Amino acid sequence: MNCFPELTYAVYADGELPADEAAQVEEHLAACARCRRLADSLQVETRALQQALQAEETTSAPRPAPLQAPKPDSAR
Amino acid sequence: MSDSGRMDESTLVAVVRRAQGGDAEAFGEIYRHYSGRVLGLCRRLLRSPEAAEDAANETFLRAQRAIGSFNGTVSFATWLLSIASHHCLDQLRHRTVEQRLMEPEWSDRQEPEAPELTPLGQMMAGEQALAVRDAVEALPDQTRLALVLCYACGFTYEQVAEVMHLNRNHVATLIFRGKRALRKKLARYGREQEG
Repeated sequence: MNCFPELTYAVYADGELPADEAAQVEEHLAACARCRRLADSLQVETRALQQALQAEETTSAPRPAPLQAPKPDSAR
Repeated sequence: MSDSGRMDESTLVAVVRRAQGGDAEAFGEIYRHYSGRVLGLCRRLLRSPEAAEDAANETFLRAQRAIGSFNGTVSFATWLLSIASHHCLDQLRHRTVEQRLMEPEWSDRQEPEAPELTPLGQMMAGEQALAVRDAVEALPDQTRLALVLCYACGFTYEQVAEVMHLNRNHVATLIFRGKRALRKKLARYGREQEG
């Protein structure tokens, strides 16, 4: 089986590949060490990006919003 | 995405229902629970602490006005962060042309042809989280928005596509290119640290 494009492995690393395509990728990864290394490094990056970008999410809050009584109109 | 944190799902549903009924105290609970995440998203998208605070407050005002329209087809966090994303996108669109010209350019031509196998993620996970966030903030608006929604907010590609009015394949490509640009920038940062 031929190697997949890097984009396919990137989508796979994000868990966004449809199940049937993910199964084909996994079959290939079992046989191709080069692609396995690439897919592994992309998965490390995905986890690291999540950690880096989520790190300060819960540590700060804005000034208190001027809460008002709800109005019936829409947000957008 | 999940609404993880101090408020469990059943409590959240009850609080949202109370807020939909006009209970300002319930909306205050929602504000306290989500304000950090909303502010974090606004900061990364707008790159200005002051503008981010204003945008976060505007998000909650809009959410309070529109909470009656929340019907649970997406999680409450997704609904709320979508309001924040739309507002920040509007703010970015209204920024002056001069400001845009000052921003760094990241074109496809800058991307390497061959995939990089170096696990820069190891660096991302360590003490370099700040460098990662700085690198994300230097990305073009659309790319930054896709990455932040996906990795900071936990949106699926489908949800990112919905917020950005793009198709799912376009989102996948944006994220792919954004990560390539990050990898390149962080590799340069790593070399500078070594030197």
